[in-house]
Amino acid sequence: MVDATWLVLTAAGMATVAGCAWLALAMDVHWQQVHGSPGPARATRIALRVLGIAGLAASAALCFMADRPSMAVLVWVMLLAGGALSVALTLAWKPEALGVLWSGRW
Amino acid sequence: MVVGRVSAGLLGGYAFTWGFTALGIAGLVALGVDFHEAETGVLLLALLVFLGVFLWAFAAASLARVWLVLAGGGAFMTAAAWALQRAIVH
Amino acid sequence: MFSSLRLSMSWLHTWFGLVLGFVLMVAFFFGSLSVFDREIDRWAIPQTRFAPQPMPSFDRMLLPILRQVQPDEQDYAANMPALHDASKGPMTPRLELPVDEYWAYTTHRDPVLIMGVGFGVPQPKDPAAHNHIHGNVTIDPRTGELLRDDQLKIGSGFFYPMHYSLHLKWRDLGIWIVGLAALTMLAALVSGVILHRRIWREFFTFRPWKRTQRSALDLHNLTGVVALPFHFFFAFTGLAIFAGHFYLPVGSTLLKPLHERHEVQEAQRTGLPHERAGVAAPLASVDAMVLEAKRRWAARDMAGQVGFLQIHHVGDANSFVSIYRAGSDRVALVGEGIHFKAATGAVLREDPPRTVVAQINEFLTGLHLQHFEHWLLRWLYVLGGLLGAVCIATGFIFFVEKRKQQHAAAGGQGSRVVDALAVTTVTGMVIAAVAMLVVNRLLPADLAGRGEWEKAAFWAIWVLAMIHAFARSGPVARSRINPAWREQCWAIAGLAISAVLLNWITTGDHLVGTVFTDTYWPVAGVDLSLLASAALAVVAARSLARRERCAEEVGARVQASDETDDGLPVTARLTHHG
Repeated sequence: MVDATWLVLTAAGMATVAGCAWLALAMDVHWQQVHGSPGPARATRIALRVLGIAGLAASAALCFMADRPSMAVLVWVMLLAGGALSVALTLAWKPEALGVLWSGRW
Repeated sequence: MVVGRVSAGLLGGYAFTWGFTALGIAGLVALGVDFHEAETGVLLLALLVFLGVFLWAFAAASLARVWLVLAGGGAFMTAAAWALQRAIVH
Repeated sequence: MFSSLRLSMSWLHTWFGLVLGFVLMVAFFFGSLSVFDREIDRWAIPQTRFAPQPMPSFDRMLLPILRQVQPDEQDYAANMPALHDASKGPMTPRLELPVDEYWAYTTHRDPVLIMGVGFGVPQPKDPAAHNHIHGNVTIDPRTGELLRDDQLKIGSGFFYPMHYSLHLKWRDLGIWIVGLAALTMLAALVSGVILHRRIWREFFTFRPWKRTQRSALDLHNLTGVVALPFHFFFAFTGLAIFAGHFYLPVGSTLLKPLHERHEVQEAQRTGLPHERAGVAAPLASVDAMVLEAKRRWAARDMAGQVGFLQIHHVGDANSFVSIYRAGSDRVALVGEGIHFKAATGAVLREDPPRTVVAQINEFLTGLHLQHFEHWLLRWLYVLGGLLGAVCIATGFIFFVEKRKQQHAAAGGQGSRVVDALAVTTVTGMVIAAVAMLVVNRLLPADLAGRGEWEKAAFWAIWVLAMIHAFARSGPVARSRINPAWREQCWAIAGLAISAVLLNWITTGDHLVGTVFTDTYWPVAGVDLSLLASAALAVVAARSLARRERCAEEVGARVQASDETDDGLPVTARLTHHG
């Protein structure tokens, strides 16, 4: 019994985590933690930031699809907190895991 | 001195916020706004005002000025609110 | 006094954060538990483990019960003397107080229904205040059976009031203290942002491999920043909820005349009588009024259930019935009230759509009070609350770590005291809460005054945890870790697992049943949360054990090297391991 709302919200959650991860990868210190090399090239950094913002925007759109606006805004803000936290904890304990979102060679 | 800042922030801040709330509500009612509307809106602003003056009490260079503005301002606004109420209700 | 903005904000953040932090721990932790307070009630009172029900027939079930409700003895004893004007005559006996209002309340999360009666005070000191002595009951809406009133609703009746009042009822002192703590939270958030120089660059930074002082500060910043909107809005809206009645009661004191003038005008405008007529009148069918209310809501494209029902001026010609819609599908609170003339059932008034200011206020208070039905958002709220608790706890840890070496060198006890208090309000508080659930399962089912025993156990165990924390805090004065942290983590794990097992043994509800075969999420959720807490506590205990061993080894090496001086500064060694 999989409700459509749950699917949409799960997708929103995943988009938030991905968006936060891309924004983190755009920073030298975190790129280094994940890939070992000193930092992303300039074009890569811009691409990562764009992707990151796109991910967060997609998450917001999905939240607004799932609920009425007043509720959606709260869900989105809280998903941001959860997403940023997950990325920070992953960087602290298993940074390589974020490598799947963007290869070190790009 | 610490006690001075803390009491200025808390007591002075409260007095100022009280005055702001009273004058805000009375003023809006005098302008024709419904009492409960005025009360609801002003209370929300008052909380932010309290936060602002509380922080200012610590950041300000002169403790004397803090007391003057907060206690003085609070007393002035409270008195003004009371006078305004008298004018409205009579 | 402060030579710069940074210094003033640093002082404010540190000292107000430290002192009020102990209160904020209680507010955040019990606030998190309160998100699922009614589910905790189900766990604690097994007879109520059934599905939520819509409000039953008022005429057939609720009215007969309301007619039997008596004024609460404690409320009468505490408040009647203050409300009664002795110069007008003798105090009316408790059982002869006149009935003035009825009310009933349901939520989509509660199987049981709460109802109450407001009894009037004849010859009151302040007739305009319309004070009441209350009598409340909780019933099973399927049968009308009353719940015993000594069964404590551990969630909604204990944890929830704890978070906004600390159960300190004398002159509402607890509510004021929590209010001060909320103001401190707001000030700490603003000052924290001012102090945090690299807030964007360090947004995702957490370095647990570094020494405790650094990693604690990292975690403090992380948990404070990622959930900053949550922390700010919950502190702000908490203050907003109580502002009119407790913190800034301008409308009932200085501006009372303006308020009164408004009430009279309001009564004239809405047609809802403010006072009794003094003429008796019967009560028409309330069920018919409920049906009409539901029809009108559906016609406005907001079909729904009744959330709250209230009858004013019971038995009088001016009596009216107010029926409010349950707001479970939106953030704003119960609303869209429809008011009926009690004697005839005619509609007196349909509440118009709210003004902008009222809507903003309803949204703000609604986002805190959470009447809505959205399970993901509720769990995200629990996450936010726990992040707040971690922020405060890591604040304590950072405070101690930063100072304990200097204190150890100078022979001071400051860090030791703060550390022991931190243990008390972090692990000690969790122990007390979980132990209360264990005691709830251990006490005999029909013990009289069961709720009082549970409350006593909670406070006693918390005091014991504090004594343990202080007794074991010696090492902090020598710049080590207090072993009480680890020991209390083990206690939490043991108690949490015991609670789940005892639930199984005493009620037959085990996880395989409540999750799969006979699904009942309120109880399953509490059991699963207890198990998750136990797992987290074990991980923390083992991590602490490792750190303590590390510090011991460094200490031993320092002692050995003191005998063979190799020139390395002692402080460098001591700070290498965290």
